[in-house]
Amino acid sequence: MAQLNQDQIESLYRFTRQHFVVHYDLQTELVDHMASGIERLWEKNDQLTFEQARDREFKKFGVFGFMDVVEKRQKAMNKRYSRLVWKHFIEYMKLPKVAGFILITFLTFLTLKLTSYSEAFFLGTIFTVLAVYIFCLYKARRKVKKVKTDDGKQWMLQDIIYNQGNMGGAIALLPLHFYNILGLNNFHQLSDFWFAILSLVICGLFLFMYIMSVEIPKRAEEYLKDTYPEYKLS
Amino acid sequence: MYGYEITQKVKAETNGNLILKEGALYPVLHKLEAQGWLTVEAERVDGRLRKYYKITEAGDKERVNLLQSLQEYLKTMEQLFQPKWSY
Repeated sequence: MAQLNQDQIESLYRFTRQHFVVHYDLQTELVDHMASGIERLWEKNDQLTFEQARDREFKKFGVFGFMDVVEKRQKAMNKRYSRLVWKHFIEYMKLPKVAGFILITFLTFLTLKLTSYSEAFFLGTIFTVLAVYIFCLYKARRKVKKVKTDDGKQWMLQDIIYNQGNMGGAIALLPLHFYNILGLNNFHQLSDFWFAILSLVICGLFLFMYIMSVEIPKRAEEYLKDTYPEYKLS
Repeated sequence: MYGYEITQKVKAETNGNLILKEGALYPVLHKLEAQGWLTVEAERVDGRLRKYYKITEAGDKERVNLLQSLQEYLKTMEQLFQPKWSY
């Protein structure tokens, strides 16, 4: 039975890239599918050239080519990522980690209460956290750039982990909106109950930010190995 | 089973009456995988990487549930339309 050689397999990888499949995990699956199809076509008709057989196989994906597969894969992977974030969050809501979360929430409550008259302190705290966050993001970015240039392979989950981590920045800015909504004049008139709710929301949001920007990117390698059995083989 | 094998199996089992399109197969496989109903293993075959899909325990339970729902649905449709299968 005629089989594809390494050059033809490489050419199929290039073909998928030309058709907007940028992630290696999906490229691999599509290359194997096309290769199996081409070999089957050659069994029936050995006069077909590699290019002719390849184009016939590609036609089976429909008018949009690989686009639909890519789009749905992205959706499924985002769902997987959300589950991952949620799993980490739940971990923090269980003992012993929840004790630390309660302590930090309580400290935030005290800080908010004591500094409710100090605009500078409130804004300063948020900007300090943001500065630390931007530094962490910068470090994470450098790491992913290095990973990409080392072997030239892009993994979809890796992209999501590092790009979604950026979304944490938007979360970090949310407390500023509380400030905008409440206004400084009303801020110190809040009851303890509302200070407690505000502390809980702020700490919850910053916990999400920490998970998305620091904790998950730190364990990215482990999650890639879990998600992609081909990660070790590639 | 791997992607291409699934399309060929469906074609063979249904004598070519049901053609599973590539554009439909992979999105479904990826969705089931994300839901934890399928698991993936990879192997190097004929000089290229191949991904094999396997049903998980949770996936098997879901399969039974879905088949039951389908059976009930078909029964209801049959009651509703009372088709004459033979004359």
